[in-house]
Amino acid sequence: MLTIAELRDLVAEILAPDLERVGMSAKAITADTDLIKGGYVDSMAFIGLVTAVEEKLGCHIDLAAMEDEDFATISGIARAAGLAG
Amino acid sequence: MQPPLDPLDRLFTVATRFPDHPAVVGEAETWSYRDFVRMVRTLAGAIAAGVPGQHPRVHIHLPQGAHSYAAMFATLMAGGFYSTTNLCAPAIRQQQVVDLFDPDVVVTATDVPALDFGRAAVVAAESQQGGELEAALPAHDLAYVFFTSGSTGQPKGVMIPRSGLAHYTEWAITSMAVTPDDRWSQHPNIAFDLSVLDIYGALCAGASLHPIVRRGDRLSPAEFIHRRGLTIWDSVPSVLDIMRQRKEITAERFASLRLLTFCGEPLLPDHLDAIFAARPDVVVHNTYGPTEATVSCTLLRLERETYKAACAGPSVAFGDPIPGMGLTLIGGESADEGEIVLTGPQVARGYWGDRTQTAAAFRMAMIDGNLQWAYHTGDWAKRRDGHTYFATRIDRQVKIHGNRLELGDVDAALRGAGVISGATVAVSGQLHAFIEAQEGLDVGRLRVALARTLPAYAIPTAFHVVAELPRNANDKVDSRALTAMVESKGGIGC
Repeated sequence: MLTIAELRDLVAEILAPDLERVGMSAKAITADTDLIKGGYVDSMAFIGLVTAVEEKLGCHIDLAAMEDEDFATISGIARAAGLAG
Repeated sequence: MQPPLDPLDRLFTVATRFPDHPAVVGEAETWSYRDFVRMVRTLAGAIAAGVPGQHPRVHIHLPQGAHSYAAMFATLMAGGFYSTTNLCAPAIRQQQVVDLFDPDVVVTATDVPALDFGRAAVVAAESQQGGELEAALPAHDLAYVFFTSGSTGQPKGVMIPRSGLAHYTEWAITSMAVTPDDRWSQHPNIAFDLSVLDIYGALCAGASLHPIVRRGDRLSPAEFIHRRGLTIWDSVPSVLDIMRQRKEITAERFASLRLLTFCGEPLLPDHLDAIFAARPDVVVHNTYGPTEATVSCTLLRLERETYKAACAGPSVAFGDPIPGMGLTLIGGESADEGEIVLTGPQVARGYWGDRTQTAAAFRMAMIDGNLQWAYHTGDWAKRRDGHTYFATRIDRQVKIHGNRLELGDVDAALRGAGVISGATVAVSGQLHAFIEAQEGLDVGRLRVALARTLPAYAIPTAFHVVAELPRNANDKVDSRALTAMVESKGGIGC
């Protein structure tokens, strides 16, 4: 099972090429960074990210089960994917 | 012909007939029609108490949901007209709208970040002050003013007459055969006029309205349809792309739907393929219309057996004008091609406090032998085999994920962020900014600066540094050349 830190690294790896292209870096992303409000992805790109994580980990991420508070964060994704308690 | 009933009278009529029926179904709370109308009367009382003896100009600074919907009807009941805040937009942009509208009253709540409301009386959405208003006060000519992207960086307020709203509401309820059994989505932001269809279409016909507020629900909308058993779905077509990416367009997720209606950007043939593959028995409405003609003013009803005939263009045909509205193609080489010019009761009065922009788009035009108030849309369309298809824009207005945007608005924000010479183009639904610079550009810093004034969808996806922007003979930036540079992808540094 993946730890939050490993999931963070996986997300950073998936986002890195797109971020580099627009002059941004994934370095500052933490477990609690809101990836949409923080300007790292728009909602369509977030959906793409979630799908990529699902494919990589072979799991299902239930977006509707995510709460507004930790939505679009690594910790929120981990919870929705059943990776972390 | 009888004038259409006023939306407020329709609400009171259905509330009297179905007082216990759910009007608005929120996450934690449901408001029956009795509850909802009580909230409307109470808010109307508070609004009227704020500005006695005049038609109040009301700004609604609330998220989508029962309170904001009630504030809209309450404003009409108090004889006023309203504008709304786009709470997803940066605070600077929200403030610009308030400053331009200069409201008498602001309806808001303590958990919504406040702006500088100037001279306005502030009314709390849950207010009980002033008591319920017993009877509606005399109506103003206008129902609402919606602010959209303007080409100079200043939002344009579209002034919609109350009679136009009444005309549109009557059409919506009739053409969609809305009944109290319907459970209807409320997806669009209440600062976009597509939300007018949901709010007035449902609440003036006794149906139940289901605002989609949670972020998780907004990104898995078909799951929401399934959970709430919705019968009517209304959104921009882009939302279908989210559903498709999540593989949510399925018979199971769509089981309760009877009708899906779309507006705001071109619906694509493969959107329809996906919908009808999942649910061959559902009906799809494709509609067309700018904010300046009250949400939409055409309709094409699509069913599985016949929809292919309306897919002869790059996007799905958008149908014929609805009863009472006129659509004429002007300026083309034949009668089957031209700029769409709209006439009829839903056409706006013009732009709020802006005679120049009003004169540029609204004027009297001789159509079918009659001199009529007409809105020149800037949309170029073509007719083929009896169907009308959107072709292109004749100016710099674009749609990004269904959001209307003037590229001049982005250019103005670039200047505000310190870019001396820059220009923006939209290619395949993505914004590309070209910036004249001799050396490298701190794109990260520029993005942060733009995010202070522009909504997220208006921030360019890519920034290209060029030594010199291509210009045409009049020394204007050559947008076609920029578009060609993006399309060729050759030699552009980012």
